Amino acid sequence: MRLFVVEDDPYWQQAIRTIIERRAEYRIVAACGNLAQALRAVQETPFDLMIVDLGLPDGSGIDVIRAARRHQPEADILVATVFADEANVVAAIYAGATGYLLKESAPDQWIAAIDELRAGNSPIDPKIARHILGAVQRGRGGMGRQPVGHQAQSPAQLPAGDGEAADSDDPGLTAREMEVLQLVARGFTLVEVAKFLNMSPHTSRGHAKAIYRKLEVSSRGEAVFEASALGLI
Amino acid sequence: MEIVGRTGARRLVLVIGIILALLVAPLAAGSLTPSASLSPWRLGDAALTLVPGDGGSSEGGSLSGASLSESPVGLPDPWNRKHPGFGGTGHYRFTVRVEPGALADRALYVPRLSNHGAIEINGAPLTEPGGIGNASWHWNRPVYLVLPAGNLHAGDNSIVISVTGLANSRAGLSEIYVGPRDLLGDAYRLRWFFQVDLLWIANLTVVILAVPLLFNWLRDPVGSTNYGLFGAGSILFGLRNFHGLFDFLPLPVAYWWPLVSASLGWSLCFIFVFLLRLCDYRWRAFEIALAVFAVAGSIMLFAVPTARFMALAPWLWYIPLFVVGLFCVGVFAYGTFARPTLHRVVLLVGVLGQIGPAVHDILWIQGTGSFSSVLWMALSFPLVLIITSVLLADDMAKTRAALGNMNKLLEARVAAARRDLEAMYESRRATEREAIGTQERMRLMRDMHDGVGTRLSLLLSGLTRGEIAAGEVEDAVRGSLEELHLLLDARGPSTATLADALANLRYRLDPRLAATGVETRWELGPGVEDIVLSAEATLHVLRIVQECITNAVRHGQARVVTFRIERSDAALQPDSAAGTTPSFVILVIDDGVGIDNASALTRGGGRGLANMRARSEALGGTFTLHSDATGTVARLAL
Repeated sequence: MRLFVVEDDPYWQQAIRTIIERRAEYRIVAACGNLAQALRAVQETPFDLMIVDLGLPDGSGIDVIRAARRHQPEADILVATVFADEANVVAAIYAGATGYLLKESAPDQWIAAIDELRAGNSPIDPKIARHILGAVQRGRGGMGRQPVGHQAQSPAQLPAGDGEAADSDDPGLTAREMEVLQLVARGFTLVEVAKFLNMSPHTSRGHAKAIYRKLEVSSRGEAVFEASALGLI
Repeated sequence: MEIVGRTGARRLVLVIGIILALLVAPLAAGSLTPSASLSPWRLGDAALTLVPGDGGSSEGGSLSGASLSESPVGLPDPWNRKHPGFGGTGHYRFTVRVEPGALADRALYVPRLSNHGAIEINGAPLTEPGGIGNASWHWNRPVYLVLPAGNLHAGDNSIVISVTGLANSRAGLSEIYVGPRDLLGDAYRLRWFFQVDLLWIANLTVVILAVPLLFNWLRDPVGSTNYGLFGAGSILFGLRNFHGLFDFLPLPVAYWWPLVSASLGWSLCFIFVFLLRLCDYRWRAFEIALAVFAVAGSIMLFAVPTARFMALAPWLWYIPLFVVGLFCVGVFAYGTFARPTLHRVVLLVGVLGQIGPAVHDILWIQGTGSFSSVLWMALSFPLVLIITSVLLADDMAKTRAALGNMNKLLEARVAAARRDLEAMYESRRATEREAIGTQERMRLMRDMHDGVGTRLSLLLSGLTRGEIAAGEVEDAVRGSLEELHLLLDARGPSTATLADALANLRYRLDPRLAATGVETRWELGPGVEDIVLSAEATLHVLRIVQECITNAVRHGQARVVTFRIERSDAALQPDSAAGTTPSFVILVIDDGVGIDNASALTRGGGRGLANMRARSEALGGTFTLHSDATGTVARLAL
């Protein structure tokens, strides 16, 4: 598997390399220390998974994520962060990240996180879940952006999220996805959520990634607007 | 009203205009006196026969009872001067010589005939084409009659004008003219214009112009008393002046005369008070006295017997009114000289200009003046009223314009005030933001001092003294990082409640615990998701919970750790449920070996336990620990 590492700190770059190389099938195809370098490399180097640090000396890792999504739509993007603070993680998810990891995690946890991502499972923590729920509720709360024809919709129809995203504020989450988010927001793990909702743990873990993808799609082309609407900028 | 001198040129033009206008009236009246072209046709002498009677009937118009003596009389012949106290009919006989060629071009023109009149020529009665018969009320109208050729003959003709009037009623006959029809007709029409048409125009104008002033007063009775006084005076004056235009008696003389006289007084009283007020003299007592005089005088006018009315009315009414008027005009003149304004000056000129016409008219009424003249004041005073109305209307317009400007000014001020307010609000918000930022920084500093700072300084101290093993360094560094994570767990944009913060903590610890084979369980009791603590208190709770977990895993070798948050019993009771203080319990339950069985190596002398107690006391809660061989229950009640 081809890995793309964006990390400005030489120590951490080395540490990541050490951790990753514990697995023979993992191969680092690019290791960039700044934004400009990363944006160039993204266009030239095919990869399967990117590990990206958000704080770069000449810009934000968010821009790298956006470029990576454009050039390698199928690749996974893992944000490595010292603190999984809400603003940065949410911004990364809206840009297209599919997972995030605390840098302090043990090497086993790093490997596990990478494997999970490759298996289609994204992590989602209560803060992020609450944030997404809040954004979705604001979007559906009728901020006046709905077309006139849709205002006759009864409230019962609204949470259905039938995929026809009438406006870009509403990522069009399904009722099941909303349930998953609500439980996670209250502190339950995805395993517990699966038990509550009578689904396999694998299914519940897959929901998170689907949610992230919808958020990214809903924000594409107006990332600046989304970020400011969410209070990130 | 503006100060004189600000618009000097305009004022001058106005004053000159008023003076010219006031001059026109007497001049015009003067032009009515027989001119040179009329004088050859003037008949200034007659033979008069007086037949006493009640004066009310017109049946005395015949000379059949010619037993009474005829005496020569000069015209004009005002009765109240030349025949005081006489009431009845006076037959004026004229002898007119008519040339044979002029029989078809002769007319009779009488400038003034008062009260009733009947005319005979060579014994045959004549009537006006307008149908005015013997019973007509002429007051002081001119009369013009075409003398039919058939009634005249060459040589001397006899014309008899029979005038019927009440005693003291200003009855009488002016000089008469018999001559060419066109010449006399022109003179008649000119006099008719000044005596009738112009009066109509002047009085109607006075009334119409005063109406807006009166409305202005109605809208604002207190603020525009001047307008009200003047409007009332003007309207009364204009209306009552129409009495001179009636050629019939609308009421019996006993009511009509007092009404005509009294109404003049009422209108003048309004005007007098207006003059005083215009100069800012507000004499309550004087104004009340004037009102009492007006009412009492009016009552007396109605009470006086009609026969004595003409004799008594001047003393009861006109002369006191004249005296009061002189006084008011004097005061007004004084006030105007003392504090001149454009309006006062213009009005003073107008009022002083009334003195001439007033004297003329009084003499006219008394019969001592020229009997043939017209009433001057009937024209000059309306002129003054009209000019005053125009000035007041200008005043009103100015006031409205000033109000408009004032409104604009106020709007501008309001806008400026709003801008100030907004600016102040902005600066206050900035200050608040800064204060909040400062508070936040201070709290962060405190948090870091309590947590990471303490840990790191202890670590450094231990390292420099060489008392710390590598394992302890790892612990200390991990603990420091843990503190920083706790800060993020405890607060954030989407972290509002205590349950949110605990959920964050659980999520963060879960992978690490899972890696060491420890399972966590999460139990939220009913009603706990609304519990909100301050950020500081939340941080304390998280530290306690984290310490419990660390103990459970490291010392107690637990495999399952359960977090349970529930409302305490007291909080579930209805009366205290609505209380503002959250009352709840946080339990951390593990299935470890218990504190007493923990190895001495890892126990650390119970410092962690003391820390937790201290923290819960700082929160105002209690921390208890139950531990036995099957597990440990840590209980934090708040």
